[in-house]
Amino acid sequence: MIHRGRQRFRLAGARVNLGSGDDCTAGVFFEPKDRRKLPKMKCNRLFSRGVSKRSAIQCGGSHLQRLPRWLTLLLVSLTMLLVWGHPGTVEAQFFERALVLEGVHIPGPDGGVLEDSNIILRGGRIVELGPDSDAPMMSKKLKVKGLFATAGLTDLSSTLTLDEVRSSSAIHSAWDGFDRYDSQQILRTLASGVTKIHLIPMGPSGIVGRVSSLSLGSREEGGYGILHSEDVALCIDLSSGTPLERIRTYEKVRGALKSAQKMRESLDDYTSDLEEYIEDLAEAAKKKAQEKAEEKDKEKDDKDDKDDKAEDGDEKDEKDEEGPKKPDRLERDPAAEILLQVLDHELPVMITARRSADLQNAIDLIEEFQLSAILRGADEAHLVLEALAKLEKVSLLLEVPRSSLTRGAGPRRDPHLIAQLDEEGISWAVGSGGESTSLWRSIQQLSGQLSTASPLPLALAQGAQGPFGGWLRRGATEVVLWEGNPAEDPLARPNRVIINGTVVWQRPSGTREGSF
Amino acid sequence: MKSGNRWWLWILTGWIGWCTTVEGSENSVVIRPVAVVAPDGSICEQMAVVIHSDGTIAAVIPADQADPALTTVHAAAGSVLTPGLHDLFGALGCGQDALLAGTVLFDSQLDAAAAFDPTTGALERAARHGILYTTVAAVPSGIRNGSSATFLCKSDATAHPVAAGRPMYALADSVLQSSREPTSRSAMVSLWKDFIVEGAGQNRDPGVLFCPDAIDFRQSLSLRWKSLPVLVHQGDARSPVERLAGKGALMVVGPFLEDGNPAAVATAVRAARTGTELAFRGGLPAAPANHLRGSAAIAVAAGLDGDAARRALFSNPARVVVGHGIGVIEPGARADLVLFSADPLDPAARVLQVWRGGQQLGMNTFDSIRDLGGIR
Repeated sequence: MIHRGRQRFRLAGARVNLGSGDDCTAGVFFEPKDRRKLPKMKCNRLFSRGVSKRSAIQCGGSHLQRLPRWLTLLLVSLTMLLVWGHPGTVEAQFFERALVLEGVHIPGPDGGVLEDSNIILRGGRIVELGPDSDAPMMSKKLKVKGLFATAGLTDLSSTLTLDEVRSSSAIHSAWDGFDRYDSQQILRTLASGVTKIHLIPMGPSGIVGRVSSLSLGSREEGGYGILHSEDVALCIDLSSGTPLERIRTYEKVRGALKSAQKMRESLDDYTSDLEEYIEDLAEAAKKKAQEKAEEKDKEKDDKDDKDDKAEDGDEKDEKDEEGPKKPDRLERDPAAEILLQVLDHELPVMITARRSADLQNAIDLIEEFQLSAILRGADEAHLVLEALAKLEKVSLLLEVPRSSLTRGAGPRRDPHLIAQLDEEGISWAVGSGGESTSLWRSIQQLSGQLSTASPLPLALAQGAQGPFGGWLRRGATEVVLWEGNPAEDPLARPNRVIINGTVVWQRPSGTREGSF
Repeated sequence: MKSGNRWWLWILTGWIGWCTTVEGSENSVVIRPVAVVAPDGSICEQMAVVIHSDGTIAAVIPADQADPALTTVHAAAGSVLTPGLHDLFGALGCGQDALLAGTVLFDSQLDAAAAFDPTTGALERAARHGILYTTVAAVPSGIRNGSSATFLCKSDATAHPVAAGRPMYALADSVLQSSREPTSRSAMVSLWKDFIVEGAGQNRDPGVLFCPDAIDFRQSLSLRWKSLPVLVHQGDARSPVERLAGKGALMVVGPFLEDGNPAAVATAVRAARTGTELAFRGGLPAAPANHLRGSAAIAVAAGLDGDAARRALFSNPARVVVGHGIGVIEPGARADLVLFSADPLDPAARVLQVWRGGQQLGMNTFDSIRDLGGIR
């Protein structure tokens, strides 16, 4: 819309009809002489692309030079390619309003804090952050001044919303049991700063199912949970039941892996048989073709012995009909195929083992089948430390150790376990083992064992890779805003959680806290 | 007067007392420089606590004013000195069955102290985790369930009581029995009304009332109390809890579990916002030793103020059992102290030292695998 009441004004990025039927996107400075007739306006400066020469001259823009046709075509093609190739990204980058978190403090890996910084998100991703980042025009600003921003926490061992769901096969995925509409539980987890989880399937002992990884962002179609992968690891539980049941479970799992091995041998046999069969088939076909050709040549010569040859031909046909025998195809077994992935190191295995005896069983399995394994729980790992140290592809996923006053109440735990693991060079991580709400407290507790200055680096290192670990950086989609500095203040609590540019959780105001 | 001003006045009084009475006492021990948890739950930095040879606190003074000639325990940087933790209405020092009450509806003779076994080793183990007091009470199977008993956590031939017993009451389903009256909730409430308005309950110590569920809590508040008892609640009473506003109530909550009922935590947080003072239950010895602090950390994460959480851990449990000289660090109080490596609400905080009646406990019992093996 053009406002006629002004003496001089600018239209930036406006769609301008140039009076000749052509229109263009342009930035124009007008000095209206006759306020009633726009075409008579003096256009003192015009910058545009794709404007026809005639239109530009009509507008007094004769100084403009037309772009070469090839360049115009190239630009148009590139734009089209970009828009059609990545419509979501392009739309997000160019047409979505930026979200700006103004005046936040950002704790860094060196222990310092970037104070009064802006975080700019476009299309759900951080595109800029730091004290020098200026908020773009027309951006959406969030009043979060004084809050501390970190990346979201990742719980590597969560059973969120899986209360009643039980699975007992390698083909079962934990994602299948995730209740994305259980907003109460999910929001409680988000309120603790956890934005990503590895969902551990629950079920009777033995092979339980596959671990899934997901983000707790809100979904367009309702509910929460965006799946990243359904094949994080295969979960095996060796710690449930009585000692006798645990031994049986171990034998059962071993048997399943053995039969998977046998199945692979049979598959290999089948493959080689099939190859042989194909070769035989080709040879047979070649032979038949040769014989047919020979027959045709001899047909004319041997007209006299017609009756005898006909008899011989019948015999040969019978032989050809028999041909090579096709090998029987093995019946598909999806569960065994997943076990084969485990044996081929395509899928790691997560073995739940808490007591030393269970850990020893797990170690035997890992050694026998050369598994890439994660040992979950591992409370009594200090009792089998030497055996663990000998394994190459093994890491520990620890859960919250809680000391009990009751004798024999649970596995024995050593307060110096982490130091011993570090000494032996065994990698470890921390998981909540439950609804994920306790993850931050668990990490704080373990950081006390480590005597580290801050639990934050340990928390952000969970499930993160690369030199920056899980620290807030460009490209990140999850931001947690804390009321205090989580690196220093043990009582710091999350205030807001932002995933993919959406505030998925916000701490209710004082009077409404704990409301229905 | 603001609590902060009161705290400074209290330090000043302590300092004057220190100057006049304790100065030069050779058997005294001073812990400094250390952050101290004040009775209002706040943390005062750079303090010194002087322990008298009789096992009481002689003074709480700024660290730079302590006599350098005294035997000094140098506290680690960042460490926080607190009163002993207090496990309320658990079974620490008792077998679970020992606390069963009889079938009498109004049993004023029942004494929980009779079920207490001071020789049990769990008391000593609890002390090394910073839990220095235990209050036991009978299972609430009648309207009046005798009296509570509070002891020092010390494995010994004789028990060391630190507070007088308080009458224990119940308005809960556990009171209803088929073998005697009342057999219905309405009958129970009716008996309660008679007891409060006309009967013996009118002018006595309101004591401690078990009202574990929301309905118990609501019906308890509807009774005409002359003075409100200590309410022991562990359910979801988010709605009726608003009625506690302005009543100066004291409420025992928990124990809170990780992945436990969030409504129970929200109830406690809302109660605190109405001005109700809280005290945490630990559920020992079945629950983990650090469960009291765990409950506090869960409540803080749910929105409870840090000072209120520290009061709920230390000073308020002493108010529940009307214990004098326990639960606070002030001149004249028992020198039952715990030195944590950080704020006790920090899950990373560890128990560094424990003083029980001024005596320092050895803390290296659980530091080796061999010792851990012996616990099982």
